[in-house]
Amino acid sequence: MAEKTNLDQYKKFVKERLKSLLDVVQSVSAGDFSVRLEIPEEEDEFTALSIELERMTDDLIKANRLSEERMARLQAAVEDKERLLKTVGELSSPVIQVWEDVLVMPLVGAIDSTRAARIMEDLLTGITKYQAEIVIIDITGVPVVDTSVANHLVQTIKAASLLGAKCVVVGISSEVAQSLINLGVDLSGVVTRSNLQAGVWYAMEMMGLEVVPKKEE
Amino acid sequence: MTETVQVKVATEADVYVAARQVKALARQMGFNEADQTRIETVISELARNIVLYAGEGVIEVQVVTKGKRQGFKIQALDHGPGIADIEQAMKDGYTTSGGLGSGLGGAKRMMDAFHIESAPGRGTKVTVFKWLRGQ
Repeated sequence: MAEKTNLDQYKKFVKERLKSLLDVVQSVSAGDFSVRLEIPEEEDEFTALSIELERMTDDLIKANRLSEERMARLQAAVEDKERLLKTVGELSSPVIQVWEDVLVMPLVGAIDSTRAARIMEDLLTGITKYQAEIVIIDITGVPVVDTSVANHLVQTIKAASLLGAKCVVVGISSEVAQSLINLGVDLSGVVTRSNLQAGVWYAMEMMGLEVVPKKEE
Repeated sequence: MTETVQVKVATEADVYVAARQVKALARQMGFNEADQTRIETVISELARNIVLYAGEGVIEVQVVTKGKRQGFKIQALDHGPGIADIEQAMKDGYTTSGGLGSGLGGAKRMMDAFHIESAPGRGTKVTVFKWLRGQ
């Protein structure tokens, strides 16, 4: 009879110890590290297990903190990059008023479809804002003009003309000109001038203005 | 300089990376400005076709020698839908993307040799050669 009682007691003891371990393991696996184990005073296998479990939990907490820090750094880097891209985007298609009714849009760098959309938007906004009649688009800084870039350019010019503004494309290098011919790109409907200066002259002419030397008094 | 350069193309940005990279190689090789621009433009066209129609592919540039001549062998490979009517695709003014002119026809005119292999469902392989001048 006494044996039976001992066994029952032991079973109950094991159950309680296991239960306390299980609670901690469950909360840790659910990502909650706040529940900590109480290390019992008895020196038995349960205690050894508890100690190991505590060590594992500590390691997990450390690893967790580390990955959180990494995530934060990554997040910051992504935000930095987005800010930078936004800045680059804003810088990439400036619209400058050089004379009443005359705008200049210098384009620098590769033009992909995202940029092309942005360029068109900025130009149309500029035309409306300044009530521009002539827009000089300078493509000196555009490295490759292929069929797609030429197409973006022509679309932009068409859109500008819908707002009543006439576009002049300047800065087509001899290499780009040859490529355009080879690609069979027809820019015959587009007014072109060799460089920005010639573009400005064209604009002046269109506006009925001329630059004359200052008269000697 | 390395004999073969491979550039993976899957996004619009890759198109420019490929064009720039190959242009730099062309400069290193001693191609003149006009030919550098031709090569850059052709790479841009071929790479853009890959992105537009196949989604992804590879641009491969190889330095080749033929007799005394040295030059570039450029291949654009993809496993996209392929071209059903190559003859039509080569025609000027033919486009399915709303672009101007003809990228493929232009590539043929700007390079010294042009070859295209394609069939519906079997991808497209465009091979072009450009030889260094004055050799």
